[in-house]
Amino acid sequence: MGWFSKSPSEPVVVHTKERRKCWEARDEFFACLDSNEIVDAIKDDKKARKACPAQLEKYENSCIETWIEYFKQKRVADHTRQQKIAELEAKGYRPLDTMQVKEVR
Amino acid sequence: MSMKMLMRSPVLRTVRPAGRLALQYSTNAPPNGNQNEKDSVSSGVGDKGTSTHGFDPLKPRKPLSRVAIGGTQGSRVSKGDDAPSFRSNWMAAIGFVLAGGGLLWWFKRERRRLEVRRLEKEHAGVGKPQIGGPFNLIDDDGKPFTDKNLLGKFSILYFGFTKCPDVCPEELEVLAYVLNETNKKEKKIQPIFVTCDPARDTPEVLKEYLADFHEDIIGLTGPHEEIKNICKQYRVYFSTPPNLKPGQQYLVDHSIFFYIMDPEGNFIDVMGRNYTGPEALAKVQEHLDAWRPSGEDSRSWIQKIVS
Repeated sequence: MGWFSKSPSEPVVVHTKERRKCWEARDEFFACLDSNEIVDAIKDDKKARKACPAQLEKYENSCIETWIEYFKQKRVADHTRQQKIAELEAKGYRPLDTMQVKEVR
Repeated sequence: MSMKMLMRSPVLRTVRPAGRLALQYSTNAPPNGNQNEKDSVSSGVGDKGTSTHGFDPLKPRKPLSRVAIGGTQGSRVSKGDDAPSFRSNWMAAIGFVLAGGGLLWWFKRERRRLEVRRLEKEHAGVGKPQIGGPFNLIDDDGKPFTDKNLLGKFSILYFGFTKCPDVCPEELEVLAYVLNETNKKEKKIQPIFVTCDPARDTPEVLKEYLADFHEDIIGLTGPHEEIKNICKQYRVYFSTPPNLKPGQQYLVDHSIFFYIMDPEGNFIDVMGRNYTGPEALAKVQEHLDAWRPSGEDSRSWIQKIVS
């Protein structure tokens, strides 16, 4: 497990530069998961590790522990959400324009 | 200026009803029309004291103070000194359009401003403000910062924490986009970041973290109870995971809104995540333009007209 091998001391402040590096590594890793049709990198950890070893290593080295976990979870949640939306739109539902609603009141 | 010029235009002059009457008298007039006109005026008015108050139908009377158009030869040939030139008519038309357009633009703008102001007041609610209230925290220099520090300038409050993985940094970038415009020349807005994670976000951490986004942003922290208090005042939900072991890392769940507060410390509007930088800037700018100190609104005479 990648993050246990990391040093336990986390940076006190995550600066913009580090954050961008983390986001970039995350996007690369997720792109690889996409092409291998893996959604849940926690449940399918072994599969992900086998399919995208380099990307995963970079991701784990670029992000802080809590973020590594968070983005993986968020990926699953986003996927579920997208599926729900597609399902509803197939039934003819349309998204509400929240900006518009506020104007009309 | 434009009105006067329009009155002088030949088109308007021909429709004057007095024209026919003048024509009748002036046909009998000698070629020297201008001279005759003067005489007729003096004879008509000069007959005082009669039952008709000086009106004698047999005497020529000047219908109006000016010579009508359509008179006989010489009575009035409108090519004199005061004849409107093509040029002056043209200028009058431009002036008229510009003045009208300007007025329309101003009127529309003022109406929009009052509409925004009306919504601001609506948001403020009646009596006690629904959002905002007293708090007692410390800023990123370790100095006390209370609700009194919100007075005298517009403030934008945001609640978050520095270990926030994606939402807070994105939102702080939106805030920085707004500040780059509004605080360019003078600091019109006091941006405030309140941490929902006081255990880790000390003044030093906040200062270092916020410097990456915009130098004007003030970080606020304090004892857990005080953070809970301000979050309650601003209707902010936040939750730290339970049963944390010392040193264990965690994320804080919290609601994500920008709160726009006016220089009197009243809440005026809220912005959610759906705002991009330019959209947020437009909204903030609109409030900066629309807001007036309380008590000054009633003095706006235009308000009575447009509402």
